[in-house]
Amino acid sequence: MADPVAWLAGLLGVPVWLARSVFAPLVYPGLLAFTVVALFIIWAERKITARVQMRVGPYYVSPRLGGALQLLADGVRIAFQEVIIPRQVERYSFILAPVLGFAVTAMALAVVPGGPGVYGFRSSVGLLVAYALLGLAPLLVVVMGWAANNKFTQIGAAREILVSVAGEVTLLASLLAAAMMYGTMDLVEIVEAQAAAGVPGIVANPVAALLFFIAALLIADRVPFDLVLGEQEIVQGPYTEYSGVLFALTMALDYLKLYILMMLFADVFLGGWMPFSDPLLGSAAVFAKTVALMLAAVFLRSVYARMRLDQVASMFWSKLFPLALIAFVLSAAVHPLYGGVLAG
Amino acid sequence: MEALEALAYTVSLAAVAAGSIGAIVARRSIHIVSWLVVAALGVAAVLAMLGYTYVAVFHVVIYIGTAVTLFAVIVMLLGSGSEPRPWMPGRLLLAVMAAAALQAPLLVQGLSGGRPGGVRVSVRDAGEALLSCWLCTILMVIAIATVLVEAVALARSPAASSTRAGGGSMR
Repeated sequence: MADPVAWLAGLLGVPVWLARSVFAPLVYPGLLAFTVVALFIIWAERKITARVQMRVGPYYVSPRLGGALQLLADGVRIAFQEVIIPRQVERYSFILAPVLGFAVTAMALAVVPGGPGVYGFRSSVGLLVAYALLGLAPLLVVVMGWAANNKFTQIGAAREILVSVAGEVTLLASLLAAAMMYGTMDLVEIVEAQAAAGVPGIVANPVAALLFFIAALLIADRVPFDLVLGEQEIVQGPYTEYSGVLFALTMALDYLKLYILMMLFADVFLGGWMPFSDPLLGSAAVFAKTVALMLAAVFLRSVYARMRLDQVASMFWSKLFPLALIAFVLSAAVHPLYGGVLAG
Repeated sequence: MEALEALAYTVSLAAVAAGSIGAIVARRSIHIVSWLVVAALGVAAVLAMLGYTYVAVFHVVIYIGTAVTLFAVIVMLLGSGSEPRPWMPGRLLLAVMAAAALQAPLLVQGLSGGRPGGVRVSVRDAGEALLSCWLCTILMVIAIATVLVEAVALARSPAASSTRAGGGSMR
């Protein structure tokens, strides 16, 4: 089976591009895969944090599986919970913002390849398309915080906007350094260049990889940069007033960002499906790398404390951004490693 | 495929029109920001369908991701969203007329059956064109150097160091 998506398209009698653009955002690497990953990652996060703090963590739902079904139970409860809309909120913005925010962010999954030939569409600027779609989410978070008309949500929204500006500049700088290194912004070509050279990007340009990882933590609101959600300070940030399905969407939004960014990291810096070229094995490789990276990201929660907003801003603008300039120089130095491969 | 493309053009142009009218008519600052995003996404979609893919993506990255976001910073930090502006029907009329006048050439073009021919401009072409002209290269270097010097000056300014030392008052 050379290409499972093409085979599926033939079976259903639809054009291949249509099958691709439906399969990728909805099944893999899209929403279905994301749902499974999110359930697993949230469970793993709670379990790991509990182990570090010498607790048991989720247990009573399915004791034999270590409480792995706890999240499924939570999901069912949240799905049937009443959505409370407080009187002081701006109704339409309040309801629409989380829905739109999740949908816009999920669209990025159409460009990020989850394996050889497993992508929604391929563009010569795929890297930037994914970045641009991720960059739309902070605005909708601001709308959420504003619409809820509450002190905590407004402080959270102000933090989100300050933090996302700092994080996105660093993220874009590291992505552009990577694009300069490979000489292309097409994500499939990036992976192929790494496979042909036999060197993953993290070895060639560790500075850019480190910057990407740190900026991804900031954008996805992970500890030590979870200022937007700062539970001890501002309840749940911009998401304070949400309940039921809308709350689930806001929580999923942050995990979705983490999932997309870590899949991008796997493609751009870890060589994507590098040891394999078969669609199924390659997809499994990308998926495994993504999940491993997400586990590393959630593990940080149990070892780090939260940074202050001014510390984060000063760290990103005055320390990490100059480091990005070094990443550019490094990219220029290692470019011949990949440049020859693409030309040939 | 033809019908799909026509539908895509129609939807994008409708988004541009709705966004530009909404941005003028809206009574709260954050709604204005949202309508600007709608208009910008429409413009980006039209650019992308005409073949200027990377211009479209940069439009989203720079216009929405940076400019509109900074506008949102100002709105949030000044708290100017709480007082709605008075409702003025005349503004709606003006906005509709302006949007109609701006989109009329496209409409005429579309009705006459002539469709805009797609051009394919890739980043690589643009980069080669930029680097083959020495004046452009020099201007680019000067621009980047200026930004860097300004950034260093800002980072070392007394305001920045006082924020760092004093714990900051940024909410």
